[in-house]
Amino acid sequence: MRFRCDRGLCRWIARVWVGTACLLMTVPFSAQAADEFRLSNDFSTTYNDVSGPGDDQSSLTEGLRYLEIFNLYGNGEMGEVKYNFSLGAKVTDDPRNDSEKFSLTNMHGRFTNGIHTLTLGDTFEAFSQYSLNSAVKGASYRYADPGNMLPDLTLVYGLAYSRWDNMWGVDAVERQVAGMRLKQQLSADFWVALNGVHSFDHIRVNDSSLFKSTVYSLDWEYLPIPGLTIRGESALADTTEDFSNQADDDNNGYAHKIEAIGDGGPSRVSLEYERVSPEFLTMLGSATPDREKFKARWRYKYTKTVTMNFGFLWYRDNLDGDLAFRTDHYKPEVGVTVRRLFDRNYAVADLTYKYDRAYGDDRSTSDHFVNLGYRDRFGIFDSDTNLGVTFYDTKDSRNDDEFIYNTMLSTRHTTGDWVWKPSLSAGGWTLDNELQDTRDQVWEYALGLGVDVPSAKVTSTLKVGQNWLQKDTGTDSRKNFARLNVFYRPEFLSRLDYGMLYLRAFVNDFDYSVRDRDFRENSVTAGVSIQF
Amino acid sequence: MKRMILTVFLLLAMGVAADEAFAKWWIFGQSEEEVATRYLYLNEVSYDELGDKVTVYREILDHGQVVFKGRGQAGKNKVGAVQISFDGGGTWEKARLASDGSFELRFTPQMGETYQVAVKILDTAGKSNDVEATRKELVVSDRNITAVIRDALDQLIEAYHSEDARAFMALVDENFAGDATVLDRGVRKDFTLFDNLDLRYTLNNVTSGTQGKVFTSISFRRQVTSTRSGQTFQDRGVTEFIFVLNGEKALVSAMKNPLIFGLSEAAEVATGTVNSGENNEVLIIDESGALRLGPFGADSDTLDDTSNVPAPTNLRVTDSFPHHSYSFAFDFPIDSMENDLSTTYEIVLEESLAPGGPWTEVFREAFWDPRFPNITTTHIAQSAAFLFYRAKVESISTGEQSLPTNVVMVDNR
Repeated sequence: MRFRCDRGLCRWIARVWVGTACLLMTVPFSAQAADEFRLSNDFSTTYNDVSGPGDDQSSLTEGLRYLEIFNLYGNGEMGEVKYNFSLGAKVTDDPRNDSEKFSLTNMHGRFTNGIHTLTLGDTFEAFSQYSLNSAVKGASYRYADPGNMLPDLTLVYGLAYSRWDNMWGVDAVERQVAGMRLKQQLSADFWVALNGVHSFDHIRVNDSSLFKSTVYSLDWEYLPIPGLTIRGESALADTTEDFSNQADDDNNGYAHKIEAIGDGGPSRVSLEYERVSPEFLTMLGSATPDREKFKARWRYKYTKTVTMNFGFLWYRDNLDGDLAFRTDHYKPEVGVTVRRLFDRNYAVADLTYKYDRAYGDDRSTSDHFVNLGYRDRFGIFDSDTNLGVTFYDTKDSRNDDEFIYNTMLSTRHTTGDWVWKPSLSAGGWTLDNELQDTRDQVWEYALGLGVDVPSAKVTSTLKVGQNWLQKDTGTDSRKNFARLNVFYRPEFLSRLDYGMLYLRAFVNDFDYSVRDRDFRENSVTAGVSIQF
Repeated sequence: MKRMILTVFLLLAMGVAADEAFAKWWIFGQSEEEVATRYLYLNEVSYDELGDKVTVYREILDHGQVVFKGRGQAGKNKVGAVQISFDGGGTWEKARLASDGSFELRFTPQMGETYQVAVKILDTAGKSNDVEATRKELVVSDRNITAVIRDALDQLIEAYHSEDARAFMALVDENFAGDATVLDRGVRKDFTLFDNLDLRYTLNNVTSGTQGKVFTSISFRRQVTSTRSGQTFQDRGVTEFIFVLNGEKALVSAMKNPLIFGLSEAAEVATGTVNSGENNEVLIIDESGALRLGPFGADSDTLDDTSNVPAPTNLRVTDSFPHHSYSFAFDFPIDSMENDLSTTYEIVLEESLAPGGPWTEVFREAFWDPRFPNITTTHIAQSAAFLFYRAKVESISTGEQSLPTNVVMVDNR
């Protein structure tokens, strides 16, 4: 079976949708002024300079570039109908920012009388995890009347595009979506919902596969006693993948999930079991195919200052036995957070241990992760230190020890109208490869200085630093960096809800042991951000 | 070393356990006899799952209102009244109450204000619930939700750039759809495989939905150097996130392919695929930890390098004359002093108008001297402002091609 759609027709339908949405969003203006109307605008211009023999490695666009971000929002009432709307756009001449010069970033309108709700444009009706958990560009209608026993009804139709300009400029697979959700409250503590979502891809881009998919699911929630919630979902998916260069592939799969959450007193416990077959493919929901999983978490407030966390995750693949090997993963973890340690008011220590075990006929890994963090205040200094140790052990291929360590000291002083916030951070990362007897190391240190002048409505930060990468095999590198941010809210913008001028600048200087890769980036951005 | 660390950990845990507990650990749920809420939702999000400080944004208010919906219980008695305070108990507003104990209260807050919320359930005998346990600070933010999402993405990328797994995971919801522990492992593995990561993004779309969820689409540009091969890769694409709002933060709840975080465990971390025309070739990590650019598809994370032809790496521009010619150099793992390659391989240069392809062969010649691997082409698309190039090596006898190099961009204006 091949899916074909006349490209012009599809585009025409898409444009009718957009046009209709735009038209409907003008209704509030013609009927009466919005009760609330807000506009925000951010314009910035950036100058980038890249030099050195390795300048093609930079991801900056050289020269002077601009970026304009515009948003408007409004809400109001027309008789019994309440409405709100939003519109956003972005304009830039920097291809590294966006491939398109002009992009519509969001367009949304919503009308309701409390029982009937119509949404146009960007529509995010999250039905359930397996069926629909993605936004579409189109429309939705919802009927929900708490005054009677009729079920709540939600209908959705639209295109699952990431960007609005997928409709008129940027090529993408056109995925049409139609969905329905029927939710019935069976008792005060129990509801159940039926979902059906159909998606249909048109327009093949870059030899990509096209999918035709239908997902039916049933989700429910039950509250048997106060503080205990049990919920679940079961879904069936029928998906056909249309390849550009081989025969179609039909997939029929199922997914089930049940979860219990207990919340009361000092404990919060969650238990979850999930089974997703290898052929369960959901285009608009969320699921990892070929997985059976059990997960448990327990957060226990042992005392007012001590909280413990316990977790356990097990999952495996090869549910149908079609793979050559099955792999099981076990991931237990335990953590403890202690506040006011040693009777120190600002001391917070946390310690976690995680074990990650995976094994099958072709794979055996056994990794240990230990992390220790400590925050405290010593006199005028605030400190935050973190130490992580990881042992990676993969049979016959990897035996690495990894150490991560970083610490930051910061303080704050006020001199008249000026607030000074100096900081020092230093850290490193070491990876010892025991099989190849090599060591890779990264070192980094940075000095920071924040200066605020509240009376002049100025805040600023400056950070300069250096990092080195040293490798026993491969290219060594060193990077010197400096970053400056200044934000100023001048008097002449104070009549607005929000008005700010800002300046951002940075320098990155990369120095490799292979000279022809060296390069340097200088960038300065100046902008104005307003809201009224 | 491992044993020592584990021993220290156990000793610390035991030291903590020796302290006096203030509550029994086996309490799970609540008694049916208590005066309490059986359930309570604030704008469709469970009140219990919200922290002590709740921040709501204009876009997720229900027509500008905060809506409390719940159901009270009073054991053998009936629920007589439900009241909610927004000033810490100074004044109370009565909720609309049904005979089965379910209630609803709608409140129109002022933007930028902070409220001290408490919920009081009274049975017909005047007995009350534990009001203290229901206290929360409600902040009604006048910030645009797009700004909150941008902050969350900036913090995620900052933590990822600085290879701080702890800071990164603090921005991930504990109910992350692909499992938070798997993502934790994935980002740690990324950190060991990547050097000089440069990841930048622009927001395409932010849409708030039900249950405090926020859908986000971004375009990303990425450059990384493989720690194993030293090869630098550039790619770009479109991907999507689901965030959940928690206090003043937005936490990641789901991510789709192509991933920008946790690529090393792509098959387990991503719960869906973005079918965009801009995702033609993206960064892929194979089972052995090697990086490559490959055509993107739902199952592309398992691609293996089966080519027998050694791959050229580190393609770079050495000379450029816009509209006329470009010269490139690259690295090759075989030294021609030991291996005569002139009749073995050809070098192929491909051109595209986008970094992800589609690719067109624009130049081919025998691989005369791999000690000085250079290419100069005059066959260029003269009208394009930006051009993208990559190189491959092809076996003359079998026609088999190597993996492509990194993609380089030239400014052709």
